[in-house]
Amino acid sequence: MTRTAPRRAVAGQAAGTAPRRGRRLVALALLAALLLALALGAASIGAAGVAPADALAAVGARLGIGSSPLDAVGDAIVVDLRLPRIVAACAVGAGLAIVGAVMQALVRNPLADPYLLGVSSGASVGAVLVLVAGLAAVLPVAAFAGALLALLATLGLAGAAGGATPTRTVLAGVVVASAAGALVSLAIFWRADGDAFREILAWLLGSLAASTWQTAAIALVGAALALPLLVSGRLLDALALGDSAAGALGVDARRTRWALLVACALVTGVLVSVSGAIGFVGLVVPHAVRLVVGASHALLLPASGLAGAIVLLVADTVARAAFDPRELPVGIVTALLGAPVFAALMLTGRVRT
Amino acid sequence: MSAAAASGATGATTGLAVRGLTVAVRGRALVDAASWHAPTGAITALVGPNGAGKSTMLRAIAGVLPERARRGGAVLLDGAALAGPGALPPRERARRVALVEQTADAVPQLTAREAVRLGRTPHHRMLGFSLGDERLVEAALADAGAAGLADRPLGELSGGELQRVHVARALAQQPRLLLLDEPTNHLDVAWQLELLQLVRRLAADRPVVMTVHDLALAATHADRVVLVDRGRVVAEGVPDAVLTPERIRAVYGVEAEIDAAPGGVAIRYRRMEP
Repeated sequence: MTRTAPRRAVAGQAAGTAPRRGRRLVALALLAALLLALALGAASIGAAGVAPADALAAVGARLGIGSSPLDAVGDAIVVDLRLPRIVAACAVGAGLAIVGAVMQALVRNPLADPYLLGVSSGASVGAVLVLVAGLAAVLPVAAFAGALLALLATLGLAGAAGGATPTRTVLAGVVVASAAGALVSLAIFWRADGDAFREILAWLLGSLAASTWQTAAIALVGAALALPLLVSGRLLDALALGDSAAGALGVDARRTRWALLVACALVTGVLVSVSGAIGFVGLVVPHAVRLVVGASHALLLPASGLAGAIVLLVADTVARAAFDPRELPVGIVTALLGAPVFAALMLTGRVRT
Repeated sequence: MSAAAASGATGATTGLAVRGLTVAVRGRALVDAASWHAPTGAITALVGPNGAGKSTMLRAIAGVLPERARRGGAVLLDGAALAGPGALPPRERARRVALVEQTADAVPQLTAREAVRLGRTPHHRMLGFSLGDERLVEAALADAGAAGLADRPLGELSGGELQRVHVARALAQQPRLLLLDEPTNHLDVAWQLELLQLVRRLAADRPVVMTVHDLALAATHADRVVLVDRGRVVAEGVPDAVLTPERIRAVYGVEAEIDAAPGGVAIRYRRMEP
């Protein structure tokens, strides 16, 4: 779209704005509709095949509308097994993609995603420690605490080194992530056996297999925490012009950056506690979406959220159903899909630094 | 030279009043107790050698100095404090003051229209842009001669085109005070004249302050000139009173021969004889 813009520029300038805004809303509506359709499809796909209409009716019945056409087992499979997993996948995907887009703008680094700044690694430390100790029940809290501590360590290190500039922040994040990774490995080799080991592995690779309505609810909370980030689009655009230009527009660059970074850590910590460390969604989705909708964050953030939900939903459904009877951790699927996509974006020069 | 020069020079409460402005970084004074005045309805040119503190003054007025800078004195716009005791909060200030900097970063993928839209930021709450905004954005693009650039990504624009987009963004802010740091940089002569004409229009109902290196351009197009050297105001007033060969020699260390013709001022410079 950006490539063809110059030619269009002369023809329709003043007249173009209203329809353009309309088109943007239509694009978001289409993405949302696609997401709903895919969710319905995912609810009917699996070892036990269910017609999409029946799956929809079963969900409606649970909400008190009509009656379920399925037997008790089919009903439970759709509403109590698949649906929470679908909800979790959408919430985690949306949250990770939004956080990725925000972080890429904040640290002015196209490689930024929730993994940068050590946030995910910190969450891993918290999660692995409680898994090794056999306290799986407090995993969300531990993962979140780990994420927050890692973020504070990263920003503290960058600040102590002479001010949290984007480059320094990223370098500090690399250091913190390495240290956290070493702690995780140490914990695994020291203590883990049998079940704990498998649990840890699933968690490190990222998996939604253990989703229940409880974990789906936590994921929804994480995604809800990302909602305030959605309206930060214009602040991000202003920050992208530089701190001084942002200041001239009345935006306190320092305070805004800190507030958004902490919000990103919050969202990441909550999401990662549910799904484990799922890679590439936060990195690739914003880049791909940027190609279609442009760089202005007012549209990029909501579109990334919807696209992230779609991507993770599809990836998780593939992970769950495509290799029957074996089930893959979804993180493997996102990495298998994400790495070539990102490479293609790089090779075509679409990832701009 | 315009006759508007004399009109605002006396009214101390209308327009921009800079009083004893001091900016110091790590104990070094970049601006040293500078006091000057930019009346509404006039173009005021800040001139002086490199490093004299011109840009720092503009940034201090716009409230975008780095955190570590120590500042003193007061800056008043129509009586309201922009800096110093009782200064307006940042957003309120940004509704009144727009700054076009020399080295504004450009986000390569943002289109010109999106960049200009950012000028509306201080006028808005968190959500969306109103239709009125879109009209203002289009008008600002047209005024700055950037309408044809609206859909182009900033990364593809030339220096002069980028400059027009930055001016358009400042216009979208609907400022009551417009600050321009070297606005004619990067512009070819035709666009320089175009821009100066625009600035003249904008100065009709607000003070406009611009830093300028070209003394002849300042003498021709500005109503008032403030000559700055090493952070201090050396002279202030109508151009031909401020820009004399003696002062130019004292401040810049060059000989100047000033030729004031009806169409504009020309200045020839020579190195001083040893």
